[in-house]
Amino acid sequence: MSDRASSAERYSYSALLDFATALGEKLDMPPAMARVQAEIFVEADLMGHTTHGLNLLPNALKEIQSGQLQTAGEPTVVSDKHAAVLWDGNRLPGTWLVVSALEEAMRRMSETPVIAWVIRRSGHVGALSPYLLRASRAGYVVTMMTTNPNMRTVVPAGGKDPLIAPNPIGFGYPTQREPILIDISTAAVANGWIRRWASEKRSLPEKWLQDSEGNLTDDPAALFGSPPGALLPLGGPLLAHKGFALGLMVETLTGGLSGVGHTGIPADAGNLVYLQLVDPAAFVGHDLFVQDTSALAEQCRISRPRPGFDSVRMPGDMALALRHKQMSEGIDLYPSIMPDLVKWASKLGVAPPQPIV
Amino acid sequence: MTRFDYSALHDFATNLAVKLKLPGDRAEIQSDVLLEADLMGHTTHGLALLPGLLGGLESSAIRVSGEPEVLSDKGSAVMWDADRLPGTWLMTRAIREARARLTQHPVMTIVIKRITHIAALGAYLRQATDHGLIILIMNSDPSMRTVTPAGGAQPQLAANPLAFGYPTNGDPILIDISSSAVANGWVRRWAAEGKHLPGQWLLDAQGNPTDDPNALFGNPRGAMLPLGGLDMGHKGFALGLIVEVMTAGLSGLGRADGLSGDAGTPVFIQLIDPAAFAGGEALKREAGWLADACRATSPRPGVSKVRMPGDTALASRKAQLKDGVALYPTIMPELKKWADKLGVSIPGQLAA
Repeated sequence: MSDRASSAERYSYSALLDFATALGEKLDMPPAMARVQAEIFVEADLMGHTTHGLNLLPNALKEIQSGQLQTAGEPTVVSDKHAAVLWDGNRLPGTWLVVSALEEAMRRMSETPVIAWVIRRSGHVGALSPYLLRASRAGYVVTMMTTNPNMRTVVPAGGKDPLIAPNPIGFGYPTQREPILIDISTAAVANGWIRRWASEKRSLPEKWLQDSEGNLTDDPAALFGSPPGALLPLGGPLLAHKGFALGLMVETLTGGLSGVGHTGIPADAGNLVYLQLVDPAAFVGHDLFVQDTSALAEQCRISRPRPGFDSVRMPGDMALALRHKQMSEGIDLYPSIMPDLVKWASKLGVAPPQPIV
Repeated sequence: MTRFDYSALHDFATNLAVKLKLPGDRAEIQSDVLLEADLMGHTTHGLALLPGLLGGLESSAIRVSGEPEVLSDKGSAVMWDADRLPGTWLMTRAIREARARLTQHPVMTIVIKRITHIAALGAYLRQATDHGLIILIMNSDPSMRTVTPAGGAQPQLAANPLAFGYPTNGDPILIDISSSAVANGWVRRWAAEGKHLPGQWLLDAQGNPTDDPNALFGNPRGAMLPLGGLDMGHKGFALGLIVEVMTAGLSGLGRADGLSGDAGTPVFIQLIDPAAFAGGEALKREAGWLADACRATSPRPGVSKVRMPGDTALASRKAQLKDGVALYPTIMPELKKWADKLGVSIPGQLAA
């Protein structure tokens, strides 16, 4: 997901990182936690995931201030069988929880080459790609799924009423060069995009929504009407059973394994997270693995595009190219983001970063 | 539709394979798995595959005896080389092995390379869900290129299916989807029957979208779009890559080798014991609640009711176990050729 606005202002990576860290620290976040949160959010902006980067920081700050998000304490270890772990996140920041789990899982890899880690009652984790990048660059195959049981926006295939969230699947793996980074929602389109299209009064490219009566529509406003409409699963009207199936897989590995799904949902259920790491060294070996993944990626990239396309891209190609560029030239922040953050900066007495001229 | 008694069909399928030197226990399991697919209504991946498998036994493309070679065993992560052992039997054996290790290793992963045809992925899921376990199976075929990358005109991947099963406090949920817009078997059947596809799920050889199934078999041949079709194909392509990486990538049986079809395929099997997380009861409660909520929701206009993955298959299974198996009409004539050749008697049809 990348959508760069022409009027955007550019900021240097390190200035944004320091700024976001300082805002967190002002609300009594421990410095390491504030730093991790800033790193993950800014990383999303670097890669062009503009709805799931610093765009999420104002709400995180608001939740810290209201006490919905905790900044002290540790996750509760509900179960730890080494290769299988369940944490209760105690409403700590999702960025911090996932990075902590990821780092611990990577430490365990040499002994336990496949690890599944489930976290319940986590704060918002943001975009999945920043975590995928860390794990895949370390040489691991990483799967990450999240849901929010309090968010019901996606219909079951053939259904009228929304019952599940867009339930994204993230997957990253190394090659001989840059990793491949997959981040797809199991809905026909993600919530953040609908919200943005609605505020900009644009129609969707296809009929990916249903109005409250269950009729197909391309009007993003249908999702926010009263009564609200709903998102179709990936696959659209004809193949929705496949997207629905993937959504259920995410539900099972997050809500099912954590025991906090839809029955008696606590209002503070937060994000539910499933994280899995696989070390190719325990199977074919790292070198042969990346040889094969590189060959496949190259075959795809050099294959002939269909009419209307310039070239075939692998998942993550555009995000990593943009990351490289924005790291040196500065980050194009989506125009609505800095004004929201400046309000917090004045309130908390933090100097906002200066745009690059 | 002609119906046959389940156990008569099972004996028939087993006898045919045994005549071609497949050991009895392996032939029984092969019949279990193939017939499970027919019972569930996956009529392209049940006994419809038996003639091909018998051909493989006859030509020794399938190795009837011996065990898989253990290439790596880290307790929770295992890799086998099947060297063309029978797919249905070895899959069943791997799932049993994973189940046996779950108390010690609650997340068990087995990757197998060079396995012969494993038939319907969905037919194995109950081997885990009946024990309260979660199962994920993926399979690819590095010798087959039928599905394009998103935005591409040339096919690079196979239909790369993914199956996922989990228990509830009612019937299990059984998912079996290909990461292409449509599976090969269906395109072939629609072409044979002169029908159009329900959507523009193919590209012709020039890369233009089409709903003509013959485009896939022309010369030069066309290709299948990934799930998500023209607009959201990047998601189906991503899914195809996940399957490719977990199977071909982890096993080292990938496209870098330029394999022929006889070399078998790679498969990824993972079992998860919910007891190591919030517990089996919590999983069944959550999964059961969501399944019931989905079934109870009102359908959108034009749809009669909302079904969970596996609902139709399990209802079909139950009905066919009782009333007889309604074999797809093209299947028995093909099997009859083998029965005549091998001197095996054909099961009688049930009275209509």
